[in-house]
Amino acid sequence: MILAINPTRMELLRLKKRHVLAIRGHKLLKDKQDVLVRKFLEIIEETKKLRIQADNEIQSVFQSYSIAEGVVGGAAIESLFAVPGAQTEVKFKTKTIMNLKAPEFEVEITGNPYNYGDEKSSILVDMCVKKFGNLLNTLLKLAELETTSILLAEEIEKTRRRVNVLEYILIPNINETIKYITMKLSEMERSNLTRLKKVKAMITSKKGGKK
Amino acid sequence: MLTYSPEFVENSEYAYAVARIRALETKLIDGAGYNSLITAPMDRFHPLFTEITGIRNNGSPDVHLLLKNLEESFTGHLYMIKSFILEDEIKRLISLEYDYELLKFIIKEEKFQNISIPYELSSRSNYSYPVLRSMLDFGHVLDTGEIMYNAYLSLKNTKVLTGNIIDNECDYSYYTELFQILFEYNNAFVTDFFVRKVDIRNIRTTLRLKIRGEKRTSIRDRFLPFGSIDIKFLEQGFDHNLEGFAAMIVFSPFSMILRNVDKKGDEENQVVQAEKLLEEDLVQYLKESIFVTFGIEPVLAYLWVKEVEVKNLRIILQAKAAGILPEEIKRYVRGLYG
Repeated sequence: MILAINPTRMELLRLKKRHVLAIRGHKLLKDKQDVLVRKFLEIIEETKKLRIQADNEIQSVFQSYSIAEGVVGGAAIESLFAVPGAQTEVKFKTKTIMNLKAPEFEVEITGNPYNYGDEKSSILVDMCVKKFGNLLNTLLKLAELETTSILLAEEIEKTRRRVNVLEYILIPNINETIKYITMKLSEMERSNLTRLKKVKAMITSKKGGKK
Repeated sequence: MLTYSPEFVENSEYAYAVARIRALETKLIDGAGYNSLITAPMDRFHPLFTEITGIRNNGSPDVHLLLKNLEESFTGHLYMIKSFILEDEIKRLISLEYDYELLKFIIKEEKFQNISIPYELSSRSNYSYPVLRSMLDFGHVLDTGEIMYNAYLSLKNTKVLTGNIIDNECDYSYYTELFQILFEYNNAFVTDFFVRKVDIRNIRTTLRLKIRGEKRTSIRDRFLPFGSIDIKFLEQGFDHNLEGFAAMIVFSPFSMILRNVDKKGDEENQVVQAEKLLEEDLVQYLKESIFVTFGIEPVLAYLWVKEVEVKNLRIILQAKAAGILPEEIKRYVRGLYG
């Protein structure tokens, strides 16, 4: 589609500049898209692995807790875990991936997670607490990766739209408009030349008549 | 010959109780029973559980309901055993553990948040929860006993209180009172049982502290001085592996048990196995009560063996519900091996 602009030399020059810019922008965006897709695929792969790991860990923690509850008894486990000993703080930071602000979580556990007596508890309770701590780290890492992958997917979609707009609409339109203006200008030049030739012929014939 | 002496049977205060206990002992679940439960498919598990244990769940597949009924059944056994016992101090001794468990809840409830008190604790205790709470609140030292009341006051007045401090302080007071009763009652079998129990508890604690990566000095804060193993041996063994630790307590019967632990797995799994073997040794010790023809020993031994049975059933129920493989379940069931 030809852009709605006046077919002047100024516009042509401007359009040519826009064309160069669009080509460069398209290349850059295409490169960005490629890198984002590569990063996205890497993160998806990592997320898949981590999700499987988290699923296994959740199952393991659940089974570990069930065994611990079986060994020490329901009443005892309620008493053991009635007083929380560890404080968990999740710190939020951002990291930049291709100008994209992705979240980064960091968990800090302070205090004593084994905040219970020794008589009624068991090594199985300790193992369960330890597994819960590890699970928390895995879940936060998974949350971090999943959020990053969502953000990356949105960014890829945006970039893809921009690339497509440049590739299939803006650059062809500019090309077409440049072609149109060039043709228009050539035509104007040709008609101008013809007119001048005609004027010249008329002047020449007038001069010949007088002689 | 005691068996041909009707006078002896008539004169024995525990003749009826032991006769009942001997009958009940035949109903204790054996290895085959546990194995059937562990390997049963889930659709047949509940009817089989009812068949083997006699605990009904009214057709509901709810594991929590079964667990509740299991605990209630044990509470019933506790009442029955208490009814067999003639001495008041032993009746008190049986429920003393639950009194101190209630005390832990009372302190935690006061200091931290609203905690629901498990019903079975309240019902197994010498007092119920509201009674103990009001006795402690109104300072009825004569009813609660000086040791318990002092533990309550000491914890109430402690400014920085953690779950660890509450539990260990209550456990210490529990054993202090328990050994005071045992000293007055003077029964070698029962006293030895608790001495062994304390030894096992101290060994387990030392091994666990090491795995947690805590310092050797932390043993001192947690050691219970009622056992037969001195703290210095535990401290000496702290930096060694299980084999080395066993060598440090070579004078104790538990040394051989620790040596029998399979050394293939990691340290944590070795301690899991050690805990199981130590508990099994305690059950083995209780079985020696068979040599006491008419006395309190078989009665108490039955109760404590029943407690282990309940623990095993609880493990099986929880593990089956969590989808744990039979071979794995056998690693935790006392008296059973894969």
